[in-house]
Amino acid sequence: MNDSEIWKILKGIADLSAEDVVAHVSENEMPDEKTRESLKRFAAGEVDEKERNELCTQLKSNPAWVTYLADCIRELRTA
Amino acid sequence: MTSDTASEKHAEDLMLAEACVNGDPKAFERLKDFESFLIGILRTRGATEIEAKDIVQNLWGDCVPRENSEKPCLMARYSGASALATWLATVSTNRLIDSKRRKQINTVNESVDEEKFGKYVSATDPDLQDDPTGAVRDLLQKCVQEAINSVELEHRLMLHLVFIESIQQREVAMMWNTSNTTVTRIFQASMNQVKRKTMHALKVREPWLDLQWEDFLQIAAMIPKLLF
Repeated sequence: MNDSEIWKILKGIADLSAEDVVAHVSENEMPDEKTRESLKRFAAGEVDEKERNELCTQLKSNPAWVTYLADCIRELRTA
Repeated sequence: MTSDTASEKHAEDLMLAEACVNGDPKAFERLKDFESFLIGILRTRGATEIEAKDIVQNLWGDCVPRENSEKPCLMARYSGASALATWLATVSTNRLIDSKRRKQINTVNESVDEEKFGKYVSATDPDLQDDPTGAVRDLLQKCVQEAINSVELEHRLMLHLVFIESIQQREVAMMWNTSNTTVTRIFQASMNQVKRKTMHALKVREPWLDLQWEDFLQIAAMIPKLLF
């Protein structure tokens, strides 16, 4: 079993918690424009450590935004 | 694997379970072929010989459908999402945890430590007792959450992007303005930390329970499938 499979298993059981169910309620919420710009710059490796820390904290409170960040990274592949 | 293909894979197990629910005595005899396997599993996970035999005997008792009984046949809960042997091992482990907690509570006549036994009531609720997602799910979940939360937030995000969102490791390295080697090192350290902290949390909560990391992963992998 590789690390990716192990991580998926562990996240699978960890995310069954009530706290995460609540977090997923806002899954359809998009980040505001300012945050979207910040996430795009994060994806491009253009944020400093301080801003990165702040964004990570925001992403923890808004787990759905991680998917938005991932989409930004994928978009850069075709840019 | 979808739940349908999982059920197809365990079609024979599912047929056996259905035959037990229908009261087929031959099916019940076949089910008892798992007895030594289950006793062995329970013994390696911390049960005494007597505890292991008692748990398995009670388990068989609940696998026989009884007329005029409000308690449904246990085998009706098997969905085929995992191998029957794995499912029975998890149900047995769940009962073992439950049984040990009961004994512990009976021994401690003082006030119950709510942090430690907070889920005791639900775990021993007759409706949940046979649910493999009861006591064992609660235990595994708390240990994993504690372990994952111990990993630095930025490193958790890196792991999530690569392992869940399928972002390439070199892309993550670029986002953090660091090297691929550094990311590899972070991943190795984080995964080792999660493993170590999970097993430590397990030992702190249930010192008698002897689960190996591979056993832990096997049960953890099965539980979400049983819920959905």
